[in-house]
Amino acid sequence: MGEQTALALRLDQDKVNVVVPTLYTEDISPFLRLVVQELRVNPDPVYGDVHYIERYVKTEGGGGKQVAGFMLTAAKVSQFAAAANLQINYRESGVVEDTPTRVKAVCVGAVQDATGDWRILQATKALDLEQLVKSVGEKQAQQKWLFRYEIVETGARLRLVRAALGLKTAYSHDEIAKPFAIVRVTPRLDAPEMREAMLRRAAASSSEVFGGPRPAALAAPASRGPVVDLDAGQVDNGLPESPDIPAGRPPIGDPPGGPGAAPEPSASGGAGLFPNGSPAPANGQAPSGAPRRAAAPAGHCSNCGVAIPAAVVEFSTRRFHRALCRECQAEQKAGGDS
Amino acid sequence: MKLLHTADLHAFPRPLAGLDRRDEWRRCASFIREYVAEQGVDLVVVAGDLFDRPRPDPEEFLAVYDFLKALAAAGAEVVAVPGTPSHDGDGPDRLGPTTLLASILGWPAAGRYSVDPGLLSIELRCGSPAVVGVLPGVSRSWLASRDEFKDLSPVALNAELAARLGNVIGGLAASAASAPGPHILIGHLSVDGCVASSDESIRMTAEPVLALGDLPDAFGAVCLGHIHGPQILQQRGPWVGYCGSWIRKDFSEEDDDRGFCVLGFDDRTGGLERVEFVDLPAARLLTVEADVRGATDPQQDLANLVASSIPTDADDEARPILRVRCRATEDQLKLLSPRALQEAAKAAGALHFAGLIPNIERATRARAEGVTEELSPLSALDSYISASPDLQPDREALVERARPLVEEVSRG
Repeated sequence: MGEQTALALRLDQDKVNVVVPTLYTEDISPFLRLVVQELRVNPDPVYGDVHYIERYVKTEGGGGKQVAGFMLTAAKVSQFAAAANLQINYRESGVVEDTPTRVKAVCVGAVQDATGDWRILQATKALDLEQLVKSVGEKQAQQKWLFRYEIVETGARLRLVRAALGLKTAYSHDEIAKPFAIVRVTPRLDAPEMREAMLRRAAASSSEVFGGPRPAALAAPASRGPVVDLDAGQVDNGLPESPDIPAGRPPIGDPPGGPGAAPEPSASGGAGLFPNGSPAPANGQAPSGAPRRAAAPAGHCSNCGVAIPAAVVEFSTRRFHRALCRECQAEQKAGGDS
Repeated sequence: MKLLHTADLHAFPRPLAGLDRRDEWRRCASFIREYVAEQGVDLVVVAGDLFDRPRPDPEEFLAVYDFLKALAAAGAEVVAVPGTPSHDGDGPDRLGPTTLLASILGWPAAGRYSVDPGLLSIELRCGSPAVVGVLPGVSRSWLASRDEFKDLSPVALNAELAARLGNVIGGLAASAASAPGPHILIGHLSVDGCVASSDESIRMTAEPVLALGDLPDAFGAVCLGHIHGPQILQQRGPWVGYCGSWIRKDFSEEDDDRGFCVLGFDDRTGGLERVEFVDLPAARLLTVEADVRGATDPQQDLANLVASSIPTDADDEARPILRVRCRATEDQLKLLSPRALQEAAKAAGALHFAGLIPNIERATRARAEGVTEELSPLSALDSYISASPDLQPDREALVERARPLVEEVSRG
């Protein structure tokens, strides 16, 4: 029996909801171990962990009945994702279809299994204006349509997390009152090879976030004890790690050529968060070939091509989901091209 | 081994409703100094935001320096990290004033001020070694300035930054793994599940948020700064907690405790044995809620309420900074004097009166009969005058005066 399964069985499932974000496996990497984190959900909707819902379920006699249930909020689902170390690939995720009557978003993520491999997952969410009108009426549909990008992007992300972690759409009161035990893969620090790999990653990340080595006068302060400065003795980031050492994370932010190298466009037009192009979707669905929202080069309007400052790019991307200069933003706002 | 965990000093906080907070800050600093000396604290960790603004004036600069130096003089080892760049001023170039604090004033006179992530191995006065991983505060803009991250949304950028911080912490844990003594990580960042003083969870939309799983159990304790409300996110594997800031900067922090954490470690095994929260003598903030709509003498009622809200035997530390929020009618508001209320609050023992916030119940004003939105401006004026007896003698003059104005507006 695999360690993972044994661990899951040791957790009394009458008392906890076990969330195992990995597939069943007989093997566990000698460089990894499994740890359990407990997450609690407050069943009172006031606290923002759950939504109260009523849903129709079929009964044994062939009929059906309304039952009350609790659905985890988007914020709580995100907390589960973080606890399980589920990584969202934001470069490959986003709106992939955008027409006047339909939008669709894809979310790509990865979760590490006990062998150390990262399982790539993909989920989509689409919103169709005509269907929306049929289900909620013209007025409410128009209101929702204003937030179509947010709805499909959040929807895709929630679908991905729920699928990856096996979270249910709705829980009964008794279920939601039980704590959730989330099993997560974590590095085994007593393995020298693993320590070395982690140090290498840390040095690369530290260099990106905190800058490279500095002049001696401004380096880490003098100390009466030994100091391990992650910037000291920069490692060659291009060196491959041992193939046996599991990657600490899916290669987020480590573009081909190692950290710091310019990212190359992936097969799907993204910036190459996963170095070997867009990952194969778990559900067998081919990634859409539709252009990504952030296809325009940073610093240029995607409509007229004029150079724009980073702050305008950020605002425009947030507001209009693509980089637009101020003039084109005004046109867009006034109902111009989309 | 006894460790004192503090953070978010914010020297000096901005005045609150005109009240200078420097005395309060110094009172807290003295309290910690005395605690360290009297309780034999071995190690003090300061998890960022030493200053309130990136260009502290000399008085602020020296106040922090004197504080750190006094801790070191009391026999404690001191390790501090810079916090948010908008407070401690250090950018990725590390040329900010807080770095200057470290390099000009010299170490170890005032402890260690670590501007880079790294691992410190420290011999404590109790004879035990301790290993301290340090992770200074970062800014999203540092990463955003790099070409390969420029096209990312703020959420994506936060995820990238969080991933890198996780890697750095993993490296610190890997370095610390075989070292003897308690392993402590100090950092200035948000961890999933932390709650800001506004009762809102910190989410990835605003800043990078690390998962608890990013904090390896190679550390016995993770001492954090950045969030002003004290809170423990995890009791073990590792212990993860925010000690909170020194003083309540405004009324959004009214309900927060203010203090520091004291962590006790087993000298032999290095394991965390106990955690204690010690209150700081920070001024209390108090909002007095009142409803005087039915009162015949609202001023006196409010003064009585204020007096009854403050303990009669309150010493300096317990004297609150007080504000009054009251529901009143428009007529009552005219009778309320903030100055008189201020005097009443001071007489009752308040440290400072921060203001009167009226919540006015306005009398509903019926629209004059016959005046509708469909009427032309002049017709509406005529109807309004008809409904207002005191204006009727001036009807012609008013209409004549209004006519050219309306025409001017109509012409655009």
